[in-house]
Amino acid sequence: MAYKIAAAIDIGSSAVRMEITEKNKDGINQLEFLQTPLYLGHDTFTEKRISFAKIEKLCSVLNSYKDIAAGYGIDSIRTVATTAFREAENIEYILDLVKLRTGITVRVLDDPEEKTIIYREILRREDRVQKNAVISFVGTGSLGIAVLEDGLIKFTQNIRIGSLKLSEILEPVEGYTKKFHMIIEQYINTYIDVLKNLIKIPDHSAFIASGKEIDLIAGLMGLSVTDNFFEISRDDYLSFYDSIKNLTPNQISDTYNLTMDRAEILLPSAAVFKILMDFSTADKLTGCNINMCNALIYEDLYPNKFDKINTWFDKSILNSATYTAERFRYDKRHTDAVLDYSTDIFDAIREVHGLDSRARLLLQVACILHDCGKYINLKEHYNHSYDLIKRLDLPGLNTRERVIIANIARYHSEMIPLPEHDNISELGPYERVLVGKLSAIIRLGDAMDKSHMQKLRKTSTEFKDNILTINASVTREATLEDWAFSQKADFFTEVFGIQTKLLIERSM
Amino acid sequence: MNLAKPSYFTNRELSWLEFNSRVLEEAMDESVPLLERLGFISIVSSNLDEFFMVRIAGLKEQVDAGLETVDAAGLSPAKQLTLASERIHEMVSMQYKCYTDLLTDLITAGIKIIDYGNLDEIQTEYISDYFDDIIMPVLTPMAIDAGRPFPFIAGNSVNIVFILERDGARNYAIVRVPGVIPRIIKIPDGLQGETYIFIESIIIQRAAELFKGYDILGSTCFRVTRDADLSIDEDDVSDLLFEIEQQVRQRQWGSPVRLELSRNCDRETRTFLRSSLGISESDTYYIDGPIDLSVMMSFKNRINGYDVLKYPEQPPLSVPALAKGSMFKAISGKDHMVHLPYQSFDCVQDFLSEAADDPDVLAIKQVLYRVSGDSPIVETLIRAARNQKQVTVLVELKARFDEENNITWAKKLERAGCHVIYGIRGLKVHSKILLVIRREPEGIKRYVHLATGNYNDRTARIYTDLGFFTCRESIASDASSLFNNLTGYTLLPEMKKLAASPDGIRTFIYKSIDNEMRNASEGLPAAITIKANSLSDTDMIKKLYEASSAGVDIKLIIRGICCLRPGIRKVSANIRVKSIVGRYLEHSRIYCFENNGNPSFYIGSSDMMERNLDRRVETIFPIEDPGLRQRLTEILEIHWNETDKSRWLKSDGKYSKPEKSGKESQVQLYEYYKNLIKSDHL
Repeated sequence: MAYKIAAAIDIGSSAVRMEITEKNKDGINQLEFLQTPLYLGHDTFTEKRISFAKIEKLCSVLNSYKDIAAGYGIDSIRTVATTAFREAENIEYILDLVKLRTGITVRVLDDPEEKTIIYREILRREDRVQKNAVISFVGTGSLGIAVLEDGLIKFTQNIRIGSLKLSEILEPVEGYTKKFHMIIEQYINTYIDVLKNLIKIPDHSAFIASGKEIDLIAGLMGLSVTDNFFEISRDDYLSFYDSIKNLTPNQISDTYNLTMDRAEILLPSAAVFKILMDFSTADKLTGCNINMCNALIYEDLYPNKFDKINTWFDKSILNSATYTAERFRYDKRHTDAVLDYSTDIFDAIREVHGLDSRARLLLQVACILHDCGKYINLKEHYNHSYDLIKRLDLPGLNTRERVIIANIARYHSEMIPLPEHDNISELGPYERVLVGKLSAIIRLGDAMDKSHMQKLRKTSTEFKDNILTINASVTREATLEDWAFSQKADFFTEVFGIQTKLLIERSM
Repeated sequence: MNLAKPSYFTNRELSWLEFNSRVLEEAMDESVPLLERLGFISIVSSNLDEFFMVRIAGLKEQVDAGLETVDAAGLSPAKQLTLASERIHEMVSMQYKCYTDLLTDLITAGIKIIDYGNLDEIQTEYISDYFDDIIMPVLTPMAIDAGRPFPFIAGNSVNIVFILERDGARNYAIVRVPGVIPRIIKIPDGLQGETYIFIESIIIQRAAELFKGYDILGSTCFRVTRDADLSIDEDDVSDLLFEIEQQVRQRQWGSPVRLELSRNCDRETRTFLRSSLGISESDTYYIDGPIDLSVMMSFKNRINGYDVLKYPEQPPLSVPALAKGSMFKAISGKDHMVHLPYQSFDCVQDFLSEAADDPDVLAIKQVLYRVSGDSPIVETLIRAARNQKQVTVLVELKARFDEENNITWAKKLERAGCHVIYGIRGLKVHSKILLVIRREPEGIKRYVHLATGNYNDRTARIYTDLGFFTCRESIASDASSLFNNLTGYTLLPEMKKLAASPDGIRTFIYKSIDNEMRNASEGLPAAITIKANSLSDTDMIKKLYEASSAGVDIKLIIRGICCLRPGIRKVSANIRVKSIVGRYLEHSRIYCFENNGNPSFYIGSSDMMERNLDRRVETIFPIEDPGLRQRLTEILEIHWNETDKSRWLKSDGKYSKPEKSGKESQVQLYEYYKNLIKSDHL
């Protein structure tokens, strides 16, 4: 067949959307874009659970979407959900109910995954994205910020203050003040002020804004948002902001002919973008008109085009892990050594461990961050590393992957993973094996620089006849490394069934 | 400038009555074949019936509710009722006069409708048997006396009231003229020709057999018309299908709005009927002839032969480009426009039929509004569903007086596995759309048929409508979005090409008018030509007045209601309005804006009434193919220049007929299409 067709459904906080698009000889052709307002976010953000009535409505929407997709011969639709589902306490029941009533399996994206998809989608159109940039995505339930330096993501932060959520949180205050916008700004700034201490914005950063609300704002300002990008100068943006900041949602609704629910979230969203523009120090806002469905579909239709961007993203992940490690005053040279040794070992025994490149990336991130717990306390630093990594915002990694990295870090030195450890028992079977294998590797890598003095030079790693042999030359004695390596070798052998040898040759 | 002065507007009801009187003029027009004139007589009646059931009933409700709000023409509901009633009384007496004249002419032509008294011996015997065997068994006399109250008289049924006497006591009895037997019966005629008799004449003659032991002092035919508009509070309804079924059943119970009585009725009986039914003198119509002349349509259709008394045949022409080979292929090559009834409706059925059987077709989506009784469209959709196509049908249950019919088809489709949606809460879906999704080697392709008229094979023979086939992606994508909006809960995205009410059409027309006004102010060519059925929306009229004042040349071909008054100095001096009423019911809607020498053409389902613009789902769509635009230009020219069936609207709201010259546009158009075929231009 000369064409390929794909469909995706996005269950968001304020609407359900579906896109059906085909790729044919002329390129991309969007066949359908459907949007049904459904305020699941109202339920989650105020009641912490989604009501049965809303789920029923959702199921009938999904069934009607399924019918429409079936009209194009599509029987499976990639369906994702974001904040409203993610934060609902009754999520397990909801997923089950939706599956039973519609046959659709909904994948609930965690916050970092959602942002990863968005950032990738923005950077796919990278021709316009400058080397230095602050990228922001304002969803209804959460806000994501990424700082790019020299073309790589350096820092990311996800904050749970989306447009709808902000208006829900601050709604009780609205009636009591004439300067509601100031309250909103102050509230947002409680987060942004902290960021200013955590990251220095690179010079000449562009400010990329995305999310439905910036599309709306641009539309209200008379811009066309049909292209990939649109630009609003700082002055224009501020004068628009000034024109709405003193209006009540009712007045906004009347002035711009918006439904009340959209009017309610306009001011909070506009304030978020204003503050982020200040944060970025850019003199204009570059809007990027994206949506989740579109991003998913593009990936389905052009899997190969994503190879490049995925490679780039892997680099970004390591880059931001390194920046994070810097914040914890890490020992750069030791970390680099552990990263090198561990990666070499991983690559050398590839045929034995059967792990993919994603596992390699997790190992590398673990190497970069394995000692960050020392920032808290040298005693049991591995436990602090574990705690820190679990709670970090790292771009491109989902929550489960972060847990795995945290575990690898935890077991990089003294302890070995045991089923009775709580953090191990909560892992799935595959995850346990993964943690075991990768921690076995990092332990060897770490042992090879036990003294933190990078004594082992010109190492070469070789795997033959079920023996992993590491040859290294040193100029100083390396008894500590030799001893540490032999200490860690048993667990490695237990995990992989491989014998290890560290052959150290002293040269002058 | 105040454009809202009442004197600038004609009341909607009075304007409609003018339209009905133009239909009556066709019945009186001696150049129209005799039996067709009988057809127009019938249309005048059935039109009036609906007018009473809906419009007059509505006005009465307003009066009863104490509403005194005046319309754009400055008339209160009470005043409108009075004026309408005067006009209808006048119209009915003209109609019956015309009917009497037609009967005389028919006799000359060999067709007689006679009274019982004029039967010869053989005929009397024939009728006597007919009465005993067929009529008598279905009659149910209902006596009215102290123990038996006035019975319920079903709306629009013809009844006979008898005055009876026994032992010096008088009472009434009512017999309903049975609806299950043809009202006009053919009786043997020894001579060459046809002879007929109304059955009420037989029943009256033989009434003694119904009321044995009574003296019959007199009898009179009468008919009651009742309020028949469905009033459904859709917000309170969980199952629209069920609710409409219920209401249709209750329709005959609406309150009476008109009483028709034979002129020969005595005063006492008249008073008795009026008080029993609660009807005022002004709502009582005295009839010089048979009650309910709508029966003449089926009567005229029953008469075989007599071709000279009928319109010459104009068999629908085929559309050569669509008639051979695959319709999909033909539509892929270019857009096609089909003009009913000059051209055949078959292509729509063929298209649907090809889609139903084509293995590459994935889905068919259609809006059905008024479907004919044994619709081939419905049958084809069922076949498509059986062929594993995904079939989605939006059945508009609320199509007035077709509700019952529509429910039947909706259920049938549902049983066959089609996905049926029963209309939209609060909005009537009036758009005519058919969408076919097909898998082709290069990708998904969507084919669309959009039209100005319904998917009804019967009206396709008598309504002039335009249908449009295309696979332009922009239009297909809009059509698909509209469907999703109608069948699901999705928001309607911004349309690329279509304009759809309830929001889009008014905005679109205003914008187009503004554009003409701008051009006029810059001295550029500025003109608007619109062909539609009705123009009654006050804001739209004001907008047209503005355009006229700005120097835009406006030509309107409005068949029915037109509340706009043309030719008023400084208000509508640049507006000319004509109405065409002829053999076919003018039904196509065409919107043409001069657009500084590059005219834009839109056609669609929407008229310019408030309901079309604000309360219905209607669509209008652009015709962009240069050849089809040329054709629309010619169609509009033919209509505009015709004088035979045209009437010009004057600034006082009355119509005048121009001197006849040349052929009527409906004949010209038929020839136009014949020539296009001959010259291979189709």
